[in-house]
Amino acid sequence: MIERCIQFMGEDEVDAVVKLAERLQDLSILHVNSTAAGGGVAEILNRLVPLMRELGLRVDWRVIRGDQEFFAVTKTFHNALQVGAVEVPRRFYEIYHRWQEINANELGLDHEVVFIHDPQAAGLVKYRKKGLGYGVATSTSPRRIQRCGASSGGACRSATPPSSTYRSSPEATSKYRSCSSRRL
Amino acid sequence: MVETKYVAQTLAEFLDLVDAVPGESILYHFVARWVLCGAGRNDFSTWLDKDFGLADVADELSSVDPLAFNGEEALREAVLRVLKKRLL
Repeated sequence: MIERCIQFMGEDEVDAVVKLAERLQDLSILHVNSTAAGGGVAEILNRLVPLMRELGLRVDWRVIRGDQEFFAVTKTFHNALQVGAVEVPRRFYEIYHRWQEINANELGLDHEVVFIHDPQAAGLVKYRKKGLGYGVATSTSPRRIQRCGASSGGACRSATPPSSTYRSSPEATSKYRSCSSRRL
Repeated sequence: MVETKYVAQTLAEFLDLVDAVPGESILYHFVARWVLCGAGRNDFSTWLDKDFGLADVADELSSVDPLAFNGEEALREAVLRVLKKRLL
């Protein structure tokens, strides 16, 4: 399947992904989200997990569970994040954390890298067992929320006052000597 | 890899070129050389340390995490921020 990505990504990029994967062979990786089907995360993981396995990575994917009450609570959190201030009863936090504990016990979370893809499971970070930190990537916030963790002969820059930092006159110390050519 | 026409002989030229080269060049020297080529650290830090003895600037630049940015230009800005703070 990875070869089929070349037509979309280009050969260099796929080569880069293969090389990166080679360096991650020893890691155990777990993806966690809140639904096995439906929604963007499940759609991505359905394709991403097989691809990661094809690259030789040790990857698992698990889905948290909860009752109707739990998902009503997480829906309230979602709405609060989307629309602004919402009164959240203390009981809702208790329900949320109770299900985090249940899921943490059932999922194990023994992997070295764990991706939590949905806010519904974000509380699992409290139960991490390995690694330096956790990544929390949610569909509403694609960027990471929390980690898993001289001068030439007198030619100073025109916009910059002359400074010893940019001096490479004969008296300049070796600290500020001209460098050998560096091609960017 | 495509070789560019940009060559820095001095620290001043280097600073100017970090501002001017294509984003792909920033990505190549800051990420690809470090991650894919096993260079140990990004090229910019290596050059600052090896050619100018600016080990502390090199270390600070190495602490810039490319994963924290969602584009080449954001990464370039972060690199320039460190360089300007320490060199100007």
